[in-house]
Amino acid sequence: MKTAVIKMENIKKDYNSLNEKIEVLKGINFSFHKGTLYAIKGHSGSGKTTLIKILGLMDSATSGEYYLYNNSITSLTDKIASFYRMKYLGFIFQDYNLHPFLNACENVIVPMIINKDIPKKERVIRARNLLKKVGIDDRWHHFPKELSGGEQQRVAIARALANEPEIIIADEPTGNLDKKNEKVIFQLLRNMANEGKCIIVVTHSDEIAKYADKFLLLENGLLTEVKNDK
Amino acid sequence: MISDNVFSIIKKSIRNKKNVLLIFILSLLILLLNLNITFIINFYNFFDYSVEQNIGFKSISTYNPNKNLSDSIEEVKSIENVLEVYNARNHTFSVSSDLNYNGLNGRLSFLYGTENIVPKSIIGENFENIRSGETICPYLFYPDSSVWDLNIDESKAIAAEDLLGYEFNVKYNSYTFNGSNMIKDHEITKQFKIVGFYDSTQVMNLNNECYITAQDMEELQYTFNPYIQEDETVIPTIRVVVDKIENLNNVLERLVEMGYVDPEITATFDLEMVNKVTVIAIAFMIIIISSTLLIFINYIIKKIKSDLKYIGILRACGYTKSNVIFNNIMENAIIVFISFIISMLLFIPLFYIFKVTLLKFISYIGYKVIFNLKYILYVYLFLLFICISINGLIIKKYANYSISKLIKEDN
Repeated sequence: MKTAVIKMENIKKDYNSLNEKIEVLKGINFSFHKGTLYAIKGHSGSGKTTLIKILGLMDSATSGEYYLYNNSITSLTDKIASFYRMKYLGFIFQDYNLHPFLNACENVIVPMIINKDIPKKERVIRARNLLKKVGIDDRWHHFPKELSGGEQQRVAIARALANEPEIIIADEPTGNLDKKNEKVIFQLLRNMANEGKCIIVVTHSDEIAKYADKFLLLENGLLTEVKNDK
Repeated sequence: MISDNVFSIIKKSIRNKKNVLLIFILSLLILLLNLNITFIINFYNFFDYSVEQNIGFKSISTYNPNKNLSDSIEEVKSIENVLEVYNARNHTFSVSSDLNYNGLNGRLSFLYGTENIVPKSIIGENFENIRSGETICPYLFYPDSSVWDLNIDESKAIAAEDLLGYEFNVKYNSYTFNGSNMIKDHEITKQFKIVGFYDSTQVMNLNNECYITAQDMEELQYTFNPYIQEDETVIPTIRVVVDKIENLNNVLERLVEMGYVDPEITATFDLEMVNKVTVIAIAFMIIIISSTLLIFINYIIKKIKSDLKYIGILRACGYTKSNVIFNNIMENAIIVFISFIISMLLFIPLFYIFKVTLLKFISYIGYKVIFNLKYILYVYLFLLFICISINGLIIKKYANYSISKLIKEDN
């Protein structure tokens, strides 16, 4: 039985727009487990971004219970939310958002700087290992402008892994990539899930079908598991 | 030891060409500010310090056609705020001396001294203790006629420590008056002993001007120019030294009331010009500070806006709002600090040129151009404080954006 790292119980999220209440999430009940790659799909405006924000502690739910490692997460201060993000969560976005004036290795070190558990002298070694893991160690000294889109996204993945989080949330990670690079990125995410991490990917790509363990469909504010036709 | 965070910030700062451009611009502005501050300090020092001390700016020359010299002196001495009164002829006497080493020609001037007008010695005896045949000379003693028109080469100046108690000879010609003409009689040699040294820069004296007693000055003047002494038709002019510049006009008015003719202040400065220069210098400083702040603020707003997505990533990685604010302020503070260091490195040679150029104009009054790091640092720290405060307010606004807003921000 795989361990649940995130548990959502009747999560609801409302927005007020022009004095009108919009229910984006209408009661999400779901548990995310270690060692599993989840693919979340849904049409535009279905609330995928809202769900990602809540999952990634970037926003709080209107009601419901959110458990991270069985800890109830409600009304967090900025400091505590930041600590949880640093310790347990890694993010990959469609735009790689690497710092243009830091090389690949330095970009990977950025999240480690605030992690007191990682000694200073280990940071470079760890960053190089992560770059090796994503297959671009030979380009550790290159700056983002010297890397292709696929390579930049791999650096972004290494950065997301910098503090060894067990949960990786990827929002359209291959949105800006070609098919070849898309496969490379999905394979990397697959490998990470095989190593025991919980990978949550929001994507429109059908290619994910070959890599995901579970398919989730966000429709009408509800999250339902659908059959994965690999 | 520099933390990884600060090290990373420094790397980001110096690799960004836009930062380098900003550093270049700020360095030039801070350099101008440094020059401006140095100019203002020296300008104020020149007037507020030296001019106040130099008796030329506090002296009046005048005469009373109805009174003899001794009566005039006694009468004027009784006026309130008058420090000293003496025969104007005795003010100075130029001679050749045998102090002609270090390539100097030995020309020096004796000044009329009394304990009221001679500054306190920094080495040796004060004036009240000197006797006939003794003299008090400048600390940087430069007995050379070129003292008027050249920068004083301090390496050539004779060290006071070596000269204390030193006896030297001065030479001048003696004249006689045959009733219609002055006839050169013979060359006189007189010995003087240096018993003390004063700081010529404090009183804006030339560096070859030594004080001697009234008795010696009288003797020199008499043997040199007996005509004036013996001709009863010549009305002697008196020199009236007033205690403070602000009392000059009161004394001037009293002298006129007492029947003294054509009273004139012996050295003046154009107050209107001084005020104009001061206003221009301060306005220039305000313009530089305002420009620096405007450029800096405009730059950091643009930079923060272009960095919003990256700030979002930092927040997603676990950086708190405080971390983000600290990093941003640190990055910009480093830019301002580097700019200051560069400006100081540029300032040092420029200050030397500034000093040499200025000395060409004012060396004859023995003024020393001052480099005051303290005031430069005060102004710099003020500038840094304003920059950091404004930077803090701007970044705080953006750090409060939600992470998703930061990441989605389309710039």
